Amino acid sequence: MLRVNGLMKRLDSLVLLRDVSFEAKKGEIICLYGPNGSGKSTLLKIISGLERADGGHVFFRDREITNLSPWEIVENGIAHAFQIPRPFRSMSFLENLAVSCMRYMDTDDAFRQAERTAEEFDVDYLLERSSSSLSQGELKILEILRAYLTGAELLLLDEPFASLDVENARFLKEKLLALKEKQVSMLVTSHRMRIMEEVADRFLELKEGKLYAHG
Amino acid sequence: MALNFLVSFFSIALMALLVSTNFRIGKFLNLSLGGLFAAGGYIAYFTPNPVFAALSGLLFGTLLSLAISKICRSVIEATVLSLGAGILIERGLEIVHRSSYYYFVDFDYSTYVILLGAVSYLFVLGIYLSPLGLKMKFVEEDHELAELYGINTGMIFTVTTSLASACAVLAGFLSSGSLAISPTTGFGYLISGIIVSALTAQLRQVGAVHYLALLAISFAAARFMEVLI
Amino acid sequence: MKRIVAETAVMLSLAVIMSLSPYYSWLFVLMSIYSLLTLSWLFMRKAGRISMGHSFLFGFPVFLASAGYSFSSEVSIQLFIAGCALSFVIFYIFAEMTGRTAFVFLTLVFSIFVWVSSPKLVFEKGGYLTGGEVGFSFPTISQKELHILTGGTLTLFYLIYRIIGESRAGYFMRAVGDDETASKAVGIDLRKIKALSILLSGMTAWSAGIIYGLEFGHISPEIFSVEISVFPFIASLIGAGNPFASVLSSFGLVYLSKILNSMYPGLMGIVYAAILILSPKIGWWVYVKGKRLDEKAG
Repeated sequence: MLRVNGLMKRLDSLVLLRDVSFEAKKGEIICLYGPNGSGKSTLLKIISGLERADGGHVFFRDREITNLSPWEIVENGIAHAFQIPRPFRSMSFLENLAVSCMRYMDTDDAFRQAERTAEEFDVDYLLERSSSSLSQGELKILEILRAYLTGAELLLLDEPFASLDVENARFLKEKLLALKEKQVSMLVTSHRMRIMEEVADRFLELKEGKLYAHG
Repeated sequence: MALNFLVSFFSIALMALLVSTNFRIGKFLNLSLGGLFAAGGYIAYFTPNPVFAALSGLLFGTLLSLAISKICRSVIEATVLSLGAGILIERGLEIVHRSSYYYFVDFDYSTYVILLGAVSYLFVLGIYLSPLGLKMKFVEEDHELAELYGINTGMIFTVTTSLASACAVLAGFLSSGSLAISPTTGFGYLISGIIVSALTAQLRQVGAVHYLALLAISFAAARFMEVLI
Repeated sequence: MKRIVAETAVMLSLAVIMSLSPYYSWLFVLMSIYSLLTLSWLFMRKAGRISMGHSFLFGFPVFLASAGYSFSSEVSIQLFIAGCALSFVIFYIFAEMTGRTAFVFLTLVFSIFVWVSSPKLVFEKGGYLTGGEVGFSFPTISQKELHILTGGTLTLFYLIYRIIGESRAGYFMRAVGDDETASKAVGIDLRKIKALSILLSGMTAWSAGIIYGLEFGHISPEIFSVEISVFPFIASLIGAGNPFASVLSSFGLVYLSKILNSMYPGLMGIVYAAILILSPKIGWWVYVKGKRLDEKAG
């Protein structure tokens, strides 16, 4: 489904990613781990078009998507959820979710779809809340559901469990497994290995920009 | 001819220096400098005393820096506040000294702008080449970190804003002989200073090198900017 | 929807009531011009851009048109269209090449630059010099026609603003206004949304500019003044960002300026200055997302 070939990224003289290659299958959850600064977030940003690659190729469903604009990549079925949640602050939880669907349906249907999804993931009690009043755990859920509602088949989740307590992390883990049941693929960066072992199908290690161990 | 060019060059270079120091050290675009320049012209007309001009600028700058420190949290807020302060000066001048005509003074000290400009540059360069220069560069680069390392950024901000304001009033005072004085006299100078300062910022230099580049770009741009002033 | 209808009804009632006296009709047109300017500013603010140089968008096409009117009506129309296109392109380029903070600086500095340099436009026509600080003449229409045109234009753009706010484009503009990176991540084409908000803003400002020309029959470089640039910022600040309250505050500010300036010319400028100085305290909403003072200057 996703094929990354020889991806390169430099920042001045610093090499952030060197010759990174891997594949991801439909419905698969891959955990990308490695020390801070190893290039995990950069890799996700390049796949989602938020940063440009200096070399190499990214294919999704056999279509080259290297260095396309972020909105074109979302149209192709890939969405990015940030490590530090970035809600639309002037909007409610419901509006945040609905905006994601508006790209491919009209506003009324988008709101209905957002409500349905919130109910399905047991977070409908948050619908009317303003996004600026949400807790860290609730913001993480919002971030991931918002990415899912773009119609994505592949989610790029940057440290979804970071700064969550045990209970919130467990709640989030359940949501990721629910998404997996819907055949949504995920590329997840994380340091929380114990939780990831319960979720991930495969592990990839990034160290100093190089992907050199498959767990 | 050459003297006129030097006056224009130093007028633009001085305004660019004031804009630049305020932006790099004070972290805001000081839009009150145009109003202060005009105020200098009015002081020359009504009270031809350069010391009074400099002291008024100093006082205004201190008040401005205090107001910014007290109520602003962002670069935009501080800039808008300084714009308000600039408009306050201009409208104040218009109300107090309303006239259908421009004011003209019967003396011409405009060549002293060369001296004021040269002294200001030497002063700034001297600071950057002295041990204090390292602290200034630190403040320029990272305000928050400089504070954590014990540099009194608040004091540096107040001194910079006050001195820049005093210089702007003094420049307006000295230039008054070659100007038709009106509340909006200073805008052309301010815009020239901002343009030169923005062009120099593209070189991404810090410290003394930045201010030397500012001088060089002012020299190169003086001919074009003369139209604005 | 009920609310929009009620707000529109209030505006139309004002238009009818103020048409009863020639002075109030003239005042209504002036108030509406500034309200349109505020609505124009709000379109851009919706997509997260604070313009402090809105006098350029408002004044540039009509200033060119008035210069062209010295030659013929055809030249005037052609220059107006060229002015609209150019002002749109300039603002779009500014929005593309700068972040939120730099956009504020750039628009403000640019509008002051145009204000300072526009009096240099002087040419000879029929043995007389026209332009300069005096400016150019512009055609006028009857007060009754102008009143109807203005009332209609204000209502139209107000409805467009409100209806767009509830539409997909409106939500996308809000999203971009809140967070550009997050908007990209949910598949919003930032360029299209920025262009749309500037186009809507421009259309509103250009209409206001034309009505301004028709009201005064004359356009001078003062159309680019800082006070016109900061007016929509101040009106929106008082209206707390609510479009209806901002339109009403524009009406109120114009009325107040007539009263204060008749007491002492220039007095309203002091009020504007005081509001700008206090704006960080009273208008927090307008400043959200600006670069912090303790951040590294770019």
